[in-house]
Amino acid sequence: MRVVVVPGERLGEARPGKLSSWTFRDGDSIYSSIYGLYDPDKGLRVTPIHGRYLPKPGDIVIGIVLSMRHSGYLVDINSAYTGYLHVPREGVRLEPGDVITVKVSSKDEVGNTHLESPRRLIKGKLIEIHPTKIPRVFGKAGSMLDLIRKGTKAQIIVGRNGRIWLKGEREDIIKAEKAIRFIEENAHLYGVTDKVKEMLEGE
Amino acid sequence: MGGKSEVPLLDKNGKRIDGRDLEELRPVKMEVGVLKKADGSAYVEWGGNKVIAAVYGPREVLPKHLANPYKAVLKYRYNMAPFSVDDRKRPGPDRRSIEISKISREALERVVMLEYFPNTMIDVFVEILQADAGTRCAALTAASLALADAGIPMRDVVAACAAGKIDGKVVLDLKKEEDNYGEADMPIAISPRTGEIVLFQMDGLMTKDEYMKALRLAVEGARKINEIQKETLKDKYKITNLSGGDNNE
Repeated sequence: MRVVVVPGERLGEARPGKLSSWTFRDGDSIYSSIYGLYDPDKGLRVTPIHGRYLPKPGDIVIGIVLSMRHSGYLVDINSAYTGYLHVPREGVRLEPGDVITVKVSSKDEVGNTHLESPRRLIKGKLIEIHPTKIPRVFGKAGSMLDLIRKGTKAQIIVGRNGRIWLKGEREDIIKAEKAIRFIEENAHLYGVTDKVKEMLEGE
Repeated sequence: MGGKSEVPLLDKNGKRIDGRDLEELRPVKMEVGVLKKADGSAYVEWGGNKVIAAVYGPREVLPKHLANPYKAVLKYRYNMAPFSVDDRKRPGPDRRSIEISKISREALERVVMLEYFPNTMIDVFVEILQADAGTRCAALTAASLALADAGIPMRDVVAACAAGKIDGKVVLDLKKEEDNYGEADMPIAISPRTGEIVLFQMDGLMTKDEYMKALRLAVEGARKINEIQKETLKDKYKITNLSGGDNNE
């Protein structure tokens, strides 16, 4: 059963081995370092409720091109760090303001973030939700996302950084956005999948 | 402050001007997530104090030369609204608010895990909408709530409270008249998990015994404030099941 924990709240006794993220050790105890959700049955780890996106190599994110550099582009990836996308001479041409999907290729210890594999997104609608709720939009092995895709026929691309791109018929986009907003608002609750199913089938 | 005042601050029964006991806090009300645009926010009503705090970040450091490649830069701005006091307060930072911003920032630097976000900046803004003594404590209480709400990793949630001396008696949580005509005021902030004192100031005079008593009172008060902070954060998200089934998703 999930419970809400606050920073500095004791989770349990320290065990040998690596600490999970968003926890810290002091003496013989493990504490939460963040305002988040904790499930004692699933080990000493905490899922944050809020928080900015932190780039992680391998993540697919949706970025907005900020400006051109000598051999690449600066890309806003909705994070504390601006991403740098290197593009070789014969690579894609982008303009500031373009919306693209990119993969985070690396991030070093001072936050320099490098991006790769850009793909331009043309038309459609871009929405932003809390980055911490993105895993919930995916669902287990992408089940929630499949549900929305089937229920709306909209084309959906979800970035790990909290940006979601929707394309399709107007009604489908509205329906999909409604479902996504519902998931965002109720991400900490149980039974969201069933409700979303009801929502999508009901209309 | 210092000498005994001509204004009576305690009545015959030993009650204070607002009817409180010597070791009683003023009513406190807290709320988190009050601002939509901020990454984290909190509103605190503490007696006559009304304080709103907003946290932005971690975000890009501006001006850029302040960036630290080892940890995030924490900025704290304590500001009183012109209408927060009886006489109009001249807007903008002054000697007092710069000092309060500095000590509050240093208190928070003790608990915020800045090393998680190198080359970034975390902005904390606190606006005093209405002041009734103890605003730095209310501001710091609101700021640490807003930081937690912003999802910033911390070792603890800082809580603050003041104690002081009026009419020769050590009391908890002074209000404006008690602060103005009392003999001493001592705001402190603690990290409740470890019991560390992260902010400590004193104005006025107390004997060693009075000081020890005031410190104990203020720490107890801050712990009570911390309980309310925790409750506020936990009450924001009630875990239930939307479809009424088992909680085994």
